[in-house]
Amino acid sequence: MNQRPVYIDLRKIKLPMSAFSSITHRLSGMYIFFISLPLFIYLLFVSTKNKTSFDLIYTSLQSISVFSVFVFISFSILWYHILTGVRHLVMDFFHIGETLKGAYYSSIFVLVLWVLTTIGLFGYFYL
Amino acid sequence: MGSDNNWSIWIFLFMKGSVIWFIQRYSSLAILAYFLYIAAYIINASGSYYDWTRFIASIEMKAITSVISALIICHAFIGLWTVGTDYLTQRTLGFLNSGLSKKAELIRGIYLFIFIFSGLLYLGSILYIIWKI
Repeated sequence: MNQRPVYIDLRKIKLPMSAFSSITHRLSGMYIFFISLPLFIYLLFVSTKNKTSFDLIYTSLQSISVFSVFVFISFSILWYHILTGVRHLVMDFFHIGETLKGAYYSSIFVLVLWVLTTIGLFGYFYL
Repeated sequence: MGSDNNWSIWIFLFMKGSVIWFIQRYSSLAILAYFLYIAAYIINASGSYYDWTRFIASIEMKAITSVISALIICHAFIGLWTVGTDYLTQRTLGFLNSGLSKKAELIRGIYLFIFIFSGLLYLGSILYIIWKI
């Protein structure tokens, strides 16, 4: 095997839109596993422990605070992972959007959809 | 693949690549359905502790949550393992630093250990919390 290193300097390589979608799907997956999942388990623990801790977490999540926004961001990154994941599933199972142009537009579509729904949900929960 | 094809691959050796591929895709559908169900509950939730625990601690939800947690861990292991074998290799680490590239197998081994350890810890915590209620 060729032992020479591969050149993958991400700061210099200009990623096409579909590659951006793919790599952010992977990055969001890493974030979910190492940060969101422990947080969700913590929320599950606190919300089922007793009535006092449930009420405390319920009210604290309804106002804007560092913790509350951190929880919101963790859920919105899971939402992003779901959207890009569904995009990959559509390509894998139905072979839709596998062309260069199709992958470009579906990436843009997913990104725009995520930004709009995240803004909408932020307004819905906090305003 | 030479030396990049190291011992850390043994975990998935007993499965064909296509089986791993299908497990990851189909588990994602089950996990998605579960999250949509939970999201639908939360949107319509009353905000009462008793309603929430009656929902999450019902025997059906305990069983479903246990199965889905195991699927989440499988799904995550396959994804994390793929990322590790893609980026934490001799060739890809070599562009950062030639010293790092010599330690690629060790780095990937540590990474593998960390995510397997965390995954099992998550699974244990979820099962403990769910079945204790």
